[in-house]
Order: sequence, then structure tokens, then C-alpha cells
Amino acid sequence: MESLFLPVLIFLLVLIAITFELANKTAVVMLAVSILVALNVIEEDRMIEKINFETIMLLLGMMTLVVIIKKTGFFIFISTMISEFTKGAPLKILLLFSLITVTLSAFLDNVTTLLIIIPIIIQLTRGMGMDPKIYIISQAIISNIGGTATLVGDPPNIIIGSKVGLTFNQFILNLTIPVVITFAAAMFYIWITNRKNFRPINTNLTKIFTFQLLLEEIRFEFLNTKLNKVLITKSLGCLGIVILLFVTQSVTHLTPSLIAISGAMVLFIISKVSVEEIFEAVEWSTLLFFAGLFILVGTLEEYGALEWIAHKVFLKVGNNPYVMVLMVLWLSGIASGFLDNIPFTMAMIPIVQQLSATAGIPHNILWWALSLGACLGGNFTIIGSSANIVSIGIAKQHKANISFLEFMKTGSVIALISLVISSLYLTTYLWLVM
Amino acid sequence: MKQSERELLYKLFRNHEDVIGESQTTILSLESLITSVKQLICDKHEIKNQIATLFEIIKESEPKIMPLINLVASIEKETAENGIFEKESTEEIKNRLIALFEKGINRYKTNMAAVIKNGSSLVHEGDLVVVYSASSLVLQSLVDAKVIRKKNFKVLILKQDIIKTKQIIRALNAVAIPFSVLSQHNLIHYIDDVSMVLLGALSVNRDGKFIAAVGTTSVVDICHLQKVPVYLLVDTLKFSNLNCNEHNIHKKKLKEIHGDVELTYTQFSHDKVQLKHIDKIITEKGAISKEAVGDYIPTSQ
Repeated sequence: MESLFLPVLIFLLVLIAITFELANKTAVVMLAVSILVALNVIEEDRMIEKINFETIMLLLGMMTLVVIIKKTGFFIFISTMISEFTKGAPLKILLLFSLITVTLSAFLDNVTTLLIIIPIIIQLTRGMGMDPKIYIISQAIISNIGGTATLVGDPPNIIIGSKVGLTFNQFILNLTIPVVITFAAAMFYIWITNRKNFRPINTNLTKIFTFQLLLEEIRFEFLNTKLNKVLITKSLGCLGIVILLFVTQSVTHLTPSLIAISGAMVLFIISKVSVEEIFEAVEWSTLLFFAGLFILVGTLEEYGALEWIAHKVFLKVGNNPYVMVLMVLWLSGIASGFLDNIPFTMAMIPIVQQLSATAGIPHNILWWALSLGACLGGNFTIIGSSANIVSIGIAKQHKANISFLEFMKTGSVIALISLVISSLYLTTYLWLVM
Repeated sequence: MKQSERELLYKLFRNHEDVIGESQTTILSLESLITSVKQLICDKHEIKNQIATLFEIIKESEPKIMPLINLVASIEKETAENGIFEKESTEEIKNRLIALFEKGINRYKTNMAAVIKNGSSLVHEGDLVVVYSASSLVLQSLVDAKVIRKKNFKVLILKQDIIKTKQIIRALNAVAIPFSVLSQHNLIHYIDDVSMVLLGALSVNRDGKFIAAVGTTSVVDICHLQKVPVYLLVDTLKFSNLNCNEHNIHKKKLKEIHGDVELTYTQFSHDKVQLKHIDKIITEKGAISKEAVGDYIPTSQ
């Protein structure tokens, strides 16, 4: 037990520091690793074994693809088209941008999606005299929902998929239903609780006129953006092939990380973009953060901390599979709302592996419970996911300050609704297969 | 309309004026009015109030967009004279309004074309033309002088904010007019070679001043002192019965921090420039004297 104390303490301190942003999360994690090595808790030459390079390479590959696509001006093109299509109708702005966010978040990372969508939504809504806050909050929430649907949509899924060997198709087939229902429920909730903000403008000539001038401004900015049509074609082509290879993974037996990295490298070669310039924009600190977390969690696993939690907490509830699934779902959901869902997911994987081995729950339902809980639970609070933190950060840059409580007022209700939907889905699924 | 919403609209006007100039902003606004009226859903009794409200807001823009205000005033007059709002159904009211807006656009484009024709005739072979506060009228005059009148001349662009300067460079590059870019403060070193200065303006006022881009006063004053001809290219829809101080020139307080020094300063969106330092005012009706400005102010004011 004594030897368990130090890695657990350090992990908890890291969790607190990351959750409350006491310092840069990568620096915190790497410092924690250094301390563990210095105190001989882990051996320096063995710590590399704990890093799941599949996850790192998958992240690197997808990040690279996204950076190149962003460079083409494609996202600005999409945002401008949507702005035109909405004709200034507030509800259409919410719906169309949410559809784009939920789709992009499923296949590209949430943070990049929001970095593109949120500034334009602020420009549109502010330009029309509307309060952008509910739009910003909704896009952060929607991106977490969309990211839940696929292997590559959200970091918890990337970690689960890579560590456990679940395929892209398995994620889509098993999670699309709860994600679609949750998306619809979230949109309905946002609309019904903010109806006065979504009244149409087509009965107010001044508002329509203001929107027209705003649209011209957006069109002008778009026309001044250099749209690289050749690079767009090549980038979207490569992305399409990568997704196709994800889908046919069970036939080709290629790992997602290999597909993503190969796709990115092929795009480098055929597009001749500067490798150095693109790699400068890749979030290396995030990759290092993941590596450090793998080492920390691997150390907890090595010292039996996670096995202890699995036996003393989860398996104590007995063998009822329904209780077990709901416990994983709700515990992950609530914990993810208040802790960073990435380290939490990493810590839960060995626990869920233990539960899977003991309880014999079929069709990977326990993994879907973890995925749904970790991803959707991130909507409880601002600190629940990177997407939320990034959204609030962008909003602050544009002088739209959103407080912890303001976010939680909407996020927590939607998180609860999504966990209820997931509970119904998982228990029904379990009932059908047992 | 809330004050914050008005300020947003005025900011949009200023943003457009910064990039495309007042003349194009006027046309853009009228086209936007057409689209807005088409999209508007309300009964016929409501249209009159909505139009009146929007026109009132436009008339108080910061700064005032005189051609748009003058056109809007003349449309108001026409709608009152013809009783458009009293007699027709909603669709017919909308169609009549759209027709009036289109008439306004055509009138303004005709005026602009005439100013451009008159302006381009000022440029002669071998001239060195200085441009500052270059409106679309000035730029198009230069283009016409090169392309239609086949004159070979050079342009000295006095550097303004980067958006405006880029616009000028693009326009000149498109028709291969040779140019140099110079900081406004360094004009004195080239003044002896300058043939003329061409300027645009936001408005020309009864009080003997006109409103133009920030920095225009310095350029005009130095050229006037050095006896370099300064020509102002404007259409008469920019003429105003108001004094300069009534034009709602926008001002804002800005703060900069440089090391241990913090400085706060006021920035105005436009300059007030003395008409008496201008040599000629070129309008769609040809050159007019500075004293005759009052005779050309639109009667709808």
C-alpha cells in the first residue's frame, strides 16, 4: 500500500492541477513523470513501454490533416456559405452551424472545429445585435456530442479505440443512435429555453438590412481569403480516403494510426506543402501531454491502483450487468464533467478491462458506456472538456465573457439528458443481447 | 432600435466605407434595402413605419453618408407625393419601393459615370498624379484616363491604412498604371514634380469645408502652399446643407502600452478640410466654383 501512495497522490495532484488550470497541463504531467522517475517509482528505460503510440500517431495524423485543410480556406468557405443560407434567421444560424459542428466534430477534432465556427458565429450574431453567448455555449456542447459518434471524434474515443482495439465502424454502429437522439434533444432544449433569442428577423426591416450589410462584409472577407482549390481537392480527397480506410478497417486490418499517418504523409507528398510550416501548427504539447498521461496511468496500473479500484468499488456492486453498465456510464459522466475527461478515461480503461473480464457483458457495451459517459459528461461544466475551455477562451478574446455558472446552467441539463438517453439506449441494447 | 444596435449598423457602414468608399457603400446600401424589402414579412400598415424608422436611422449614421441620405430623402419625398403607402397592397407597396430604390441606384451610377468622365479629362500625358483619400471616383478616373483616353502618366500613392492602400494598388495594377508609394510625410521631397492631386470626399458642406479621409487636411494644405493643383472629385449628391460639425464624425479613445509608458489618445474617423484650399470641384455637372456649392445642394434637404 505504501508504494501505491506516491503514484496515486501524484496522479490526484496532476488531475487537480489540470482541472483547475493551475499550470500548463503538459508541463504538469511531464513534471509528474520526472518526479516519479527521480523517486524510482518508475524506471526511465521502461516508461516508454507505457506510452500507447497508436493513440499518439492517430492524433498526429489527424492533426496534420486538419492543419493542411485549414490552410486551404475551406472552412471559411463553408462558414460563408452557411451565413448566406441563413438569411439572418437566428434559429437557422443555430441549426445550420450546429449541423456543421456536429458533423465536423465527428471526423475532425473538436478544438479545430470550434476555432473555425465560433469566431464566425460571434461575428454574425454580434453584427445583428444578438447576444452570442447561447450560440457559443451551444456549439461547445454540440461539438462534444458530435465527437462521441466516431473513433476519431473525441480524445476519450481515440484512447479507448486504440487501447482496446475497437474499430471505426464499431464506434459508428454502436454510438450513432444515442448521439443523434442526444443531438436532437440538445437542440430542442436550447431552443425551448431561449425562444426569445431565436425569433425570426424577417418582420423587422432594420434587422434584415443590418444583416445584409454584415453578409456583404463577410463575403468581402471571404473574397480576400485565398482559396486554394487544388489543395482543397487533394486535402478532402485524402481525408475521404482516410475515412474510407477507417470504415474498411476490419477488411484491410490496417490500424487507424497507420491510416491517419499515411494519409497525412501522402497529402504532404502530393500537395507539396511545407512540412515544417504544417508541423509548426501541430499541437506537439498535446501529444506530449498524452504521452505523459499514458506513463502516469501505466504506473498506477503497474502498482495495482486501478485493479484495487475495480475490485473495491465497481465489483462490489455485484454481478448485475445493468447496474454495472449504468455505474460505468454515470460515474464516467459525472466525473468527466468535473475532471479532465482524458486522464479520467485513461484511468478507467484498465478498470473497465477488469470488469469486462469478470462480468462477461457482451458486445463491448461497457466500453460504449465509458465512451458515452466520458464524452457526453464533458458537457456538465466548462472544465469538462478541452472543447469547452477553448470555446470560452475564444469568446473571451471577442469580449463575450461566459461564467462557469452560465455554462453549467445549459451544459449540466443537456449532460443529464444525454446520460438518461444513453442509459435507456444501453439498457435496451443489453436487454436485446443478453 | 436599441442604441447598441444602431452603433452596430453605423460600424458596418464605416467598415464598408473604409474598404469600398462612400459611393460604393451607397450603392451597396440601396441594393441591401431592395433585398431587405423583398424579405420583409408584415402587413401594409406596418411597412410605412418600418421604412420611416430605418430611414431615420440612416440619416443619423456616424459619419453621415450624404449620397445615401440625399437619395433616401428624395425617396421619402416621392413616396409621400405619390401616396404609395396609402393606396396599394403589401406586394405592390414593396414593388414600388424597390422601383424607387433601383431608380436611386441608376441615378447615382449615372452621376458617378459623369464625374469619372470629367475627372479623367484632367489627366494629361506625362503627369505625376498624387492620390490620397482616393475614392472609387478618383480611381476610376485614373483607369479611364489610361484605358479610354490612352494617357501615359504616373501615380504617387500616399500611404494610408493598409486596406485603402491595397485597394488603390490593385486598381492601378489591373490596368498597368505605373506608381510609387510614399509616406504622406515625405511628399515635400517630390512636390516639385507633382502635376496635381486628386481627392475624393464624404461630403461637401455649406460651411466651406468638406469631409474626407483622415490625413487629407495635411496633404491639401501642403499642396496648396506649394501651389500644386488640388482637384476634388465628387458628385452633387454628396453636397450637404449641414455644417461639418453636424456630420457625426466618429471618435474613439484608444490606449497603447509601450514598455512603462501608457498613452491614451483620441482618434477621429475623418478629417474636416478647407474647401478654399481646393482648386477645382469636379462634379457630374462639370467643374463648379467653391462659392457655388450652395446652389447644388439637393432640394430634398
